[in-house]
Amino acid sequence: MTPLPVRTRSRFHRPLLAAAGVLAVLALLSLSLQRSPAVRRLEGLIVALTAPGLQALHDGGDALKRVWRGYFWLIGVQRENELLKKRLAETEQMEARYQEAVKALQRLEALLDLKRQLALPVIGARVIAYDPSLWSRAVIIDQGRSAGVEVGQAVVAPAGIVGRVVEAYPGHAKVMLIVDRLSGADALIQRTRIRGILQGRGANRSALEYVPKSADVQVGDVVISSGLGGLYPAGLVFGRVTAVNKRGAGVFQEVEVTPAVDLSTLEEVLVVKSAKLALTP
Amino acid sequence: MLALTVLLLLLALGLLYFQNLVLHPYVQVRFLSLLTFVVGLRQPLAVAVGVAVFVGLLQDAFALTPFGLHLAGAVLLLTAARFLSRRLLLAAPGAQIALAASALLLEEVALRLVLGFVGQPLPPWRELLRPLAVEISATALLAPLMFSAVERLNLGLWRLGWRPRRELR
Repeated sequence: MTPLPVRTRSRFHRPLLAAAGVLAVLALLSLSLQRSPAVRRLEGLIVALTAPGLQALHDGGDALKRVWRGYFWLIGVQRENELLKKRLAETEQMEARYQEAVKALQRLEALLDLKRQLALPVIGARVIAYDPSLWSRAVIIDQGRSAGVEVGQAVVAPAGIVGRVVEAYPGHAKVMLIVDRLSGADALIQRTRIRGILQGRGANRSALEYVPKSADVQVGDVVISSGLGGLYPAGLVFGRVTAVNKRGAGVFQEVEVTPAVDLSTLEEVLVVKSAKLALTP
Repeated sequence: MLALTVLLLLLALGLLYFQNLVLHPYVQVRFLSLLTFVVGLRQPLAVAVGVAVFVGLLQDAFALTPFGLHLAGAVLLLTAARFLSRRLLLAAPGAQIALAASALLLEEVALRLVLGFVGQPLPPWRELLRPLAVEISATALLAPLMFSAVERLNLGLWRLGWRPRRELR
Protein backbone atom coordinates (compact mmCIF):
# COMPACT_ATOMS: atom_id res chain seq x y z
CA MET A 1 0.00 0.00 0.00
CA THR A 2 1.36 3.38 -0.98
CA PRO A 3 1.41 6.05 1.71
CA LEU A 4 -0.90 9.04 1.41
CA PRO A 5 0.76 12.02 -0.32
CA VAL A 6 0.81 14.23 2.77
CA ARG A 7 3.10 17.20 2.53
CA THR A 8 4.65 18.06 5.85
CA ARG A 9 5.86 21.52 6.61
CA SER A 10 8.20 22.54 9.32
CA ARG A 11 6.54 24.54 12.09
CA PHE A 12 9.23 27.10 11.44
CA HIS A 13 8.07 27.55 7.86
CA ARG A 14 6.03 30.75 8.40
CA PRO A 15 8.37 32.47 10.88
CA LEU A 16 11.27 31.75 8.53
CA LEU A 17 9.32 33.15 5.61
CA ALA A 18 8.45 36.28 7.60
CA ALA A 19 12.04 36.72 8.73
CA ALA A 20 13.24 36.38 5.13
CA GLY A 21 10.70 38.99 4.03
CA VAL A 22 11.77 41.45 6.71
CA LEU A 23 15.43 40.89 5.84
CA ALA A 24 14.72 41.46 2.16
CA VAL A 25 12.92 44.74 2.89
CA LEU A 26 15.72 45.92 5.17
CA ALA A 27 18.31 45.00 2.53
CA LEU A 28 16.37 46.98 -0.08
CA LEU A 29 16.13 50.00 2.23
CA SER A 30 19.82 49.76 2.96
CA LEU A 31 20.70 49.56 -0.75
CA SER A 32 18.41 52.52 -1.41
CA LEU A 33 20.13 54.63 1.23
CA GLN A 34 23.45 53.78 -0.38
CA ARG A 35 21.96 54.94 -3.69
CA SER A 36 22.61 51.60 -5.34
CA PRO A 37 22.38 51.64 -9.17
CA ALA A 38 20.39 48.39 -9.09
CA VAL A 39 17.68 50.00 -6.94
CA ARG A 40 17.61 53.00 -9.27
CA ARG A 41 17.21 50.69 -12.25
CA LEU A 42 14.36 48.88 -10.50
CA GLU A 43 12.72 52.21 -9.68
CA GLY A 44 13.16 53.37 -13.27
CA LEU A 45 11.72 50.12 -14.57
CA ILE A 46 8.59 50.42 -12.43
CA VAL A 47 8.07 54.03 -13.48
CA ALA A 48 8.67 53.11 -17.13
CA LEU A 49 6.10 50.31 -16.90
CA THR A 50 3.38 52.18 -15.03
CA ALA A 51 3.76 55.84 -16.02
CA PRO A 52 2.72 55.42 -19.70
CA GLY A 53 -0.71 54.20 -18.58
CA LEU A 54 -1.02 57.20 -16.33
CA GLN A 55 0.12 59.44 -19.15
CA ALA A 56 -2.36 57.94 -21.59
CA LEU A 57 -5.22 58.37 -19.11
CA HIS A 58 -4.02 61.87 -18.38
CA ASP A 59 -3.99 62.73 -22.08
CA GLY A 60 -7.38 61.09 -22.61
CA GLY A 61 -8.83 62.97 -19.65
CA ASP A 62 -7.34 66.21 -20.89
CA ALA A 63 -8.79 65.67 -24.35
CA LEU A 64 -12.23 65.02 -22.88
CA LYS A 65 -11.88 68.03 -20.63
CA ARG A 66 -10.90 70.19 -23.58
CA VAL A 67 -13.87 69.01 -25.60
CA TRP A 68 -16.24 69.61 -22.69
CA ARG A 69 -14.85 72.98 -21.72
CA GLY A 70 -13.94 74.24 -25.16
CA TYR A 71 -17.12 73.35 -26.99
CA PHE A 72 -19.94 72.76 -24.59
CA TRP A 73 -19.23 74.90 -21.62
CA LEU A 74 -18.56 78.58 -21.73
CA ILE A 75 -16.83 78.77 -25.06
CA GLY A 76 -14.27 81.51 -24.99
CA VAL A 77 -14.45 82.27 -21.27
CA GLN A 78 -12.23 79.35 -20.44
CA ARG A 79 -9.70 80.35 -23.05
CA GLU A 80 -9.75 83.94 -21.92
CA ASN A 81 -9.32 82.87 -18.30
CA GLU A 82 -6.36 80.67 -19.20
CA LEU A 83 -4.82 83.49 -21.22
CA LEU A 84 -5.28 86.01 -18.40
CA LYS A 85 -3.83 83.59 -15.85
CA LYS A 86 -0.85 82.98 -18.08
CA ARG A 87 -0.35 86.69 -18.63
CA LEU A 88 -0.60 87.40 -14.91
CA ALA A 89 1.99 84.75 -14.13
CA GLU A 90 4.26 86.09 -16.85
CA THR A 91 3.84 89.64 -15.57
CA GLU A 92 4.72 88.59 -12.04
CA GLN A 93 7.80 86.85 -13.29
CA MET A 94 8.71 89.83 -15.45
CA GLU A 95 8.21 92.20 -12.56
CA ALA A 96 10.56 90.15 -10.39
CA ARG A 97 13.13 90.09 -13.17
CA TYR A 98 12.72 93.83 -13.67
CA GLN A 99 13.25 94.53 -9.98
CA GLU A 100 16.29 92.33 -10.08
CA ALA A 101 17.68 94.22 -13.06
CA VAL A 102 17.07 97.58 -11.34
CA LYS A 103 18.92 96.45 -8.21
CA ALA A 104 21.80 95.17 -10.31
CA LEU A 105 22.03 98.43 -12.21
CA GLN A 106 22.12 100.41 -8.98
CA ARG A 107 24.94 98.32 -7.61
CA LEU A 108 26.97 98.16 -10.77
CA GLU A 109 27.40 101.61 -12.31
CA ALA A 110 29.61 100.29 -15.04
CA LEU A 111 26.83 98.12 -16.33
CA LEU A 112 24.17 100.84 -16.57
CA ASP A 113 23.59 100.26 -20.25
CA LEU A 114 23.61 96.55 -20.07
CA LYS A 115 20.31 94.90 -20.69
CA ARG A 116 20.02 91.78 -18.66
CA GLN A 117 18.14 89.00 -20.23
CA LEU A 118 17.45 85.49 -19.36
CA ALA A 119 18.60 83.12 -22.06
CA LEU A 120 18.18 79.65 -20.70
CA PRO A 121 18.07 76.47 -22.75
CA VAL A 122 14.97 74.64 -21.56
CA ILE A 123 12.99 71.45 -22.18
CA GLY A 124 9.20 71.53 -21.96
CA ALA A 125 7.64 68.75 -19.90
CA ARG A 126 4.29 67.72 -18.47
CA VAL A 127 3.63 66.54 -14.96
CA ILE A 128 2.04 63.12 -15.17
CA ALA A 129 2.09 61.84 -11.60
CA TYR A 130 2.30 63.06 -8.05
CA ASP A 131 4.01 61.55 -5.05
CA PRO A 132 1.50 59.24 -3.33
CA SER A 133 3.22 59.62 0.02
CA LEU A 134 2.63 62.13 2.80
CA TRP A 135 6.29 62.07 3.75
CA SER A 136 7.76 63.55 0.61
CA ARG A 137 6.84 65.94 -2.21
CA ALA A 138 7.79 64.93 -5.74
CA VAL A 139 6.31 64.70 -9.21
CA ILE A 140 7.05 62.59 -12.26
CA ILE A 141 7.47 64.41 -15.58
CA ASP A 142 7.16 62.96 -19.08
CA GLN A 143 10.69 63.86 -20.24
CA GLY A 144 13.78 61.89 -19.33
CA ARG A 145 17.36 61.17 -20.25
CA SER A 146 16.45 60.65 -23.91
CA ALA A 147 15.32 64.30 -24.08
CA GLY A 148 18.42 65.57 -22.31
CA VAL A 149 17.06 65.75 -18.78
CA GLU A 150 19.74 65.12 -16.18
CA VAL A 151 19.89 64.87 -12.42
CA GLY A 152 20.36 68.26 -10.78
CA GLN A 153 18.63 70.35 -13.43
CA ALA A 154 16.21 73.01 -12.23
CA VAL A 155 12.50 72.80 -13.03
CA VAL A 156 10.49 76.01 -13.35
CA ALA A 157 6.94 77.11 -14.17
CA PRO A 158 5.82 80.53 -15.47
CA ALA A 159 5.22 81.79 -11.93
CA GLY A 160 8.51 80.60 -10.45
CA ILE A 161 10.72 77.73 -9.37
CA VAL A 162 9.19 74.27 -8.98
CA GLY A 163 12.12 72.10 -7.89
CA ARG A 164 14.96 70.05 -9.29
CA VAL A 165 15.44 66.71 -11.01
CA VAL A 166 16.57 64.02 -8.58
CA GLU A 167 16.18 60.92 -10.76
CA ALA A 168 16.33 60.74 -14.56
CA TYR A 169 14.98 57.61 -16.25
CA PRO A 170 15.02 57.04 -20.02
CA GLY A 171 11.59 58.52 -20.69
CA HIS A 172 10.65 60.13 -17.40
CA ALA A 173 12.20 62.01 -14.51
CA LYS A 174 11.46 62.49 -10.84
CA VAL A 175 11.43 66.07 -9.58
CA MET A 176 11.89 67.01 -5.93
CA LEU A 177 9.65 70.00 -5.22
CA ILE A 178 11.01 72.99 -3.30
CA VAL A 179 8.61 72.19 -0.45
CA ASP A 180 10.05 68.72 0.13
CA ARG A 181 11.79 68.46 3.47
CA LEU A 182 15.05 67.42 1.81
CA SER A 183 15.06 70.45 -0.48
CA GLY A 184 17.33 73.36 0.38
CA ALA A 185 18.61 76.24 -1.76
CA ASP A 186 20.36 79.55 -1.34
CA ALA A 187 17.82 82.37 -1.60
CA LEU A 188 17.48 86.04 -0.93
CA ILE A 189 14.83 88.59 -0.14
CA GLN A 190 14.59 90.71 -3.26
CA ARG A 191 13.87 94.02 -1.47
CA THR A 192 16.67 93.92 1.09
CA ARG A 193 19.12 91.39 -0.43
CA ILE A 194 19.10 89.42 2.81
CA ARG A 195 20.21 85.86 2.24
CA GLY A 196 19.09 82.62 3.76
CA ILE A 197 18.51 78.98 2.94
CA LEU A 198 15.09 78.16 1.56
CA GLN A 199 14.18 74.88 3.24
CA GLY A 200 11.16 72.77 2.30
CA ARG A 201 8.64 72.16 5.08
CA GLY A 202 6.36 69.57 3.51
CA ALA A 203 2.75 70.12 2.41
CA ASN A 204 2.86 73.37 0.38
CA ARG A 205 5.19 75.38 2.60
CA SER A 206 8.81 76.32 2.86
CA ALA A 207 10.86 78.53 5.18
CA LEU A 208 13.77 80.90 4.78
CA GLU A 209 16.22 79.79 7.41
CA TYR A 210 19.29 81.35 9.01
CA VAL A 211 17.95 84.89 8.72
CA PRO A 212 19.11 86.97 11.73
CA LYS A 213 16.43 88.58 13.91
CA SER A 214 17.89 92.00 13.14
CA ALA A 215 17.27 91.57 9.39
CA ASP A 216 14.42 93.50 7.76
CA VAL A 217 11.93 90.95 6.47
CA GLN A 218 8.28 91.79 5.90
CA VAL A 219 5.22 89.81 4.94
CA GLY A 220 4.81 90.06 1.17
CA ASP A 221 8.52 90.26 0.37
CA VAL A 222 9.50 88.33 -2.75
CA VAL A 223 12.05 85.54 -2.23
CA ILE A 224 14.26 84.80 -5.22
CA SER A 225 17.07 82.40 -5.97
CA SER A 226 20.57 83.78 -5.47
CA GLY A 227 22.17 81.46 -8.02
CA LEU A 228 24.76 80.34 -5.51
CA GLY A 229 25.41 76.66 -5.43
CA GLY A 230 24.40 76.40 -9.08
CA LEU A 231 21.12 74.65 -8.31
CA TYR A 232 18.72 77.29 -9.61
CA PRO A 233 19.27 80.18 -12.04
CA ALA A 234 19.68 83.49 -10.20
CA GLY A 235 16.75 85.88 -10.00
CA LEU A 236 13.91 83.42 -10.41
CA VAL A 237 11.05 83.61 -7.91
CA PHE A 238 10.68 81.04 -5.14
CA GLY A 239 7.68 82.67 -3.51
CA ARG A 240 6.51 85.33 -1.08
CA VAL A 241 6.98 85.72 2.65
CA THR A 242 3.68 84.91 4.33
CA ALA A 243 4.68 84.97 8.01
CA VAL A 244 7.54 86.35 10.09
CA ASN A 245 8.15 85.40 13.73
CA LYS A 246 10.94 87.02 15.71
CA ARG A 247 9.69 85.90 19.12
CA GLY A 248 11.14 82.41 19.06
CA ALA A 249 14.29 81.33 20.86
CA GLY A 250 17.67 81.62 19.14
CA VAL A 251 19.32 84.22 16.96
CA PHE A 252 17.35 83.58 13.79
CA GLN A 253 13.83 84.60 12.91
CA GLU A 254 11.24 82.22 11.45
CA VAL A 255 10.30 83.26 7.94
CA GLU A 256 7.54 81.27 6.24
CA VAL A 257 7.56 81.36 2.46
CA THR A 258 4.67 80.26 0.27
CA PRO A 259 5.80 79.12 -3.19
CA ALA A 260 4.78 81.30 -6.11
CA VAL A 261 3.77 78.19 -8.01
CA ASP A 262 0.82 76.10 -6.87
CA LEU A 263 2.74 72.87 -6.52
CA SER A 264 -0.38 70.76 -6.05
CA THR A 265 -1.80 71.50 -9.48
CA LEU A 266 1.23 71.53 -11.73
CA GLU A 267 0.70 70.78 -15.39
CA GLU A 268 3.38 72.11 -17.73
CA VAL A 269 6.90 72.85 -16.53
CA LEU A 270 10.26 73.72 -18.03
CA VAL A 271 13.46 71.85 -17.24
CA VAL A 272 16.37 74.30 -17.30
CA LYS A 273 19.38 72.67 -18.91
CA SER A 274 21.86 75.13 -17.44
CA ALA A 275 21.76 77.09 -14.20
CA LYS A 276 24.06 79.77 -15.62
CA LEU A 277 22.56 83.02 -16.85
CA ALA A 278 23.58 84.30 -20.23
CA LEU A 279 24.23 88.03 -20.38
CA THR A 280 23.49 89.62 -23.73
CA PRO A 281 24.34 93.21 -24.64
CA MET B 1 -4.81 32.09 -8.31
CA LEU B 2 -2.73 33.80 -10.97
CA ALA B 3 -5.83 35.34 -12.54
CA LEU B 4 -6.89 36.74 -9.17
CA THR B 5 -3.40 38.12 -8.52
CA VAL B 6 -3.27 39.79 -11.93
CA LEU B 7 -6.71 41.32 -11.42
CA LEU B 8 -5.75 42.63 -8.00
CA LEU B 9 -2.54 44.12 -9.38
CA LEU B 10 -4.55 45.86 -12.09
CA LEU B 11 -6.95 47.10 -9.43
CA ALA B 12 -3.97 48.49 -7.48
CA LEU B 13 -2.67 50.24 -10.58
CA GLY B 14 -6.16 51.60 -11.28
CA LEU B 15 -6.41 52.93 -7.74
CA LEU B 16 -3.04 54.69 -8.08
CA TYR B 17 -4.20 56.29 -11.33
CA PHE B 18 -7.54 57.24 -9.80
CA GLN B 19 -5.82 58.87 -6.84
CA ASN B 20 -3.43 60.75 -9.11
CA LEU B 21 -5.81 61.84 -11.83
CA VAL B 22 -9.09 62.37 -10.01
CA LEU B 23 -8.58 62.91 -6.30
CA HIS B 24 -5.24 64.73 -6.17
CA PRO B 25 -4.71 67.29 -4.65
CA TYR B 26 -8.01 67.68 -2.83
CA VAL B 27 -8.57 64.24 -1.35
CA GLN B 28 -5.90 62.01 0.10
CA VAL B 29 -7.05 58.45 0.70
CA ARG B 30 -4.74 55.47 1.16
CA PHE B 31 -6.45 53.15 -1.27
CA LEU B 32 -3.33 51.08 -1.86
CA SER B 33 -2.64 50.49 1.82
CA LEU B 34 -6.27 49.56 2.31
CA LEU B 35 -6.16 47.14 -0.61
CA THR B 36 -3.04 45.48 0.80
CA PHE B 37 -4.71 45.07 4.18
CA VAL B 38 -8.02 43.76 2.83
CA VAL B 39 -6.33 41.29 0.47
CA GLY B 40 -4.16 40.13 3.36
CA LEU B 41 -7.20 39.31 5.45
CA ARG B 42 -8.80 36.55 3.42
CA GLN B 43 -6.97 35.86 0.20
CA PRO B 44 -4.33 33.11 -0.14
CA LEU B 45 -0.91 34.05 1.21
CA ALA B 46 0.79 33.96 -2.21
CA VAL B 47 -1.78 36.39 -3.65
CA ALA B 48 -1.51 38.68 -0.64
CA VAL B 49 2.30 38.70 -0.80
CA GLY B 50 2.21 39.44 -4.53
CA VAL B 51 -0.16 42.36 -4.02
CA ALA B 52 1.81 43.73 -1.04
CA VAL B 53 5.12 43.63 -2.93
CA PHE B 54 3.61 45.21 -6.03
CA VAL B 55 1.84 47.97 -4.08
CA GLY B 56 4.93 48.68 -2.00
CA LEU B 57 7.25 48.92 -4.99
CA LEU B 58 4.74 50.97 -6.98
CA GLN B 59 4.47 53.59 -4.25
CA ASP B 60 8.23 53.57 -3.71
CA ALA B 61 8.84 54.25 -7.39
CA PHE B 62 6.62 57.33 -7.39
CA ALA B 63 7.69 58.71 -4.01
CA LEU B 64 10.86 60.44 -2.92
CA THR B 65 11.29 58.49 0.30
CA PRO B 66 14.01 55.80 0.51
CA PHE B 67 13.17 52.97 -1.87
CA GLY B 68 11.75 50.11 0.19
CA LEU B 69 9.93 52.23 2.75
CA HIS B 70 6.48 51.70 1.31
CA LEU B 71 7.34 48.06 0.72
CA ALA B 72 8.08 47.77 4.44
CA GLY B 73 4.72 49.41 5.14
CA ALA B 74 2.92 46.98 2.84
CA VAL B 75 4.63 43.98 4.45
CA LEU B 76 3.66 45.31 7.87
CA LEU B 77 0.02 45.73 6.79
CA LEU B 78 0.00 42.21 5.41
CA THR B 79 1.46 40.82 8.64
CA ALA B 80 -1.14 42.72 10.67
CA ALA B 81 -3.92 41.43 8.42
CA ARG B 82 -2.80 37.78 8.71
CA PHE B 83 -2.43 38.14 12.46
CA LEU B 84 -5.87 39.71 12.93
CA SER B 85 -7.75 37.47 10.50
CA ARG B 86 -6.97 34.38 12.59
CA ARG B 87 -8.11 35.94 15.83
CA LEU B 88 -11.12 38.13 15.06
CA LEU B 89 -14.42 37.93 13.26
CA LEU B 90 -14.40 40.23 10.28
CA ALA B 91 -17.94 39.95 8.98
CA ALA B 92 -19.26 43.16 10.53
CA PRO B 93 -18.41 46.42 8.69
CA GLY B 94 -17.68 48.06 12.05
CA ALA B 95 -15.00 45.50 12.79
CA GLN B 96 -13.50 45.95 9.33
CA ILE B 97 -13.35 49.73 9.79
CA ALA B 98 -11.82 49.47 13.28
CA LEU B 99 -9.21 46.95 12.18
CA ALA B 100 -8.29 48.89 9.07
CA ALA B 101 -7.88 52.07 11.13
CA SER B 102 -5.67 50.25 13.65
CA ALA B 103 -3.52 48.73 10.91
CA LEU B 104 -3.10 52.05 9.08
CA LEU B 105 -2.16 53.76 12.33
CA LEU B 106 0.35 51.01 13.05
CA GLU B 107 1.82 51.45 9.56
CA GLU B 108 2.11 55.20 10.05
CA VAL B 109 3.86 54.87 13.40
CA ALA B 110 6.23 52.15 12.18
CA LEU B 111 7.20 54.01 9.02
CA ARG B 112 7.80 57.23 10.93
CA LEU B 113 10.11 55.26 13.19
CA VAL B 114 11.97 53.84 10.18
CA LEU B 115 12.24 57.31 8.59
CA GLY B 116 13.49 58.76 11.86
CA PHE B 117 15.96 55.92 12.15
CA VAL B 118 17.43 56.58 8.69
CA GLY B 119 17.68 60.30 9.39
CA GLN B 120 14.92 61.55 7.11
CA PRO B 121 13.49 64.94 8.18
CA LEU B 122 9.93 64.48 9.41
CA PRO B 123 7.05 66.84 10.04
CA PRO B 124 6.20 67.17 13.72
CA TRP B 125 3.21 65.15 14.98
CA ARG B 126 1.20 68.23 15.93
CA GLU B 127 1.32 69.44 12.30
CA LEU B 128 0.31 66.14 10.83
CA LEU B 129 -2.17 65.00 13.44
CA ARG B 130 -5.29 66.50 11.89
CA PRO B 131 -4.68 65.61 8.21
CA LEU B 132 -3.45 62.22 9.26
CA ALA B 133 -6.51 61.55 11.42
CA VAL B 134 -8.81 62.60 8.57
CA GLU B 135 -6.88 60.52 6.04
CA ILE B 136 -6.79 57.38 8.15
CA SER B 137 -10.45 57.71 9.18
CA ALA B 138 -11.59 58.30 5.60
CA THR B 139 -9.54 55.35 4.38
CA ALA B 140 -10.78 53.08 7.16
CA LEU B 141 -14.40 54.03 6.42
CA LEU B 142 -13.89 52.65 2.94
CA ALA B 143 -12.75 49.28 4.30
CA PRO B 144 -16.16 47.51 3.93
CA LEU B 145 -16.34 48.75 0.33
CA MET B 146 -12.87 47.48 -0.47
CA PHE B 147 -13.62 44.23 1.33
CA SER B 148 -16.75 43.78 -0.75
CA ALA B 149 -14.92 44.72 -3.98
CA VAL B 150 -12.22 42.11 -3.42
CA GLU B 151 -14.81 39.47 -2.50
CA ARG B 152 -16.82 40.28 -5.61
CA LEU B 153 -13.74 40.07 -7.76
CA ASN B 154 -13.07 36.64 -6.36
CA LEU B 155 -16.68 35.59 -6.84
CA GLY B 156 -16.71 36.93 -10.38
CA LEU B 157 -13.68 34.85 -11.26
CA TRP B 158 -15.33 31.82 -9.68
CA ARG B 159 -18.46 32.33 -11.80
CA LEU B 160 -16.36 32.67 -14.92
CA GLY B 161 -14.88 29.29 -14.17
CA TRP B 162 -11.52 30.21 -12.72
CA ARG B 163 -10.50 27.98 -9.87
CA PRO B 164 -7.31 27.75 -7.83
CA ARG B 165 -5.08 25.15 -9.47
CA ARG B 166 -5.11 22.87 -6.41
CA GLU B 167 -8.90 22.54 -6.72
CA LEU B 168 -8.67 21.53 -10.37
CA ARG B 169 -6.48 18.54 -9.63
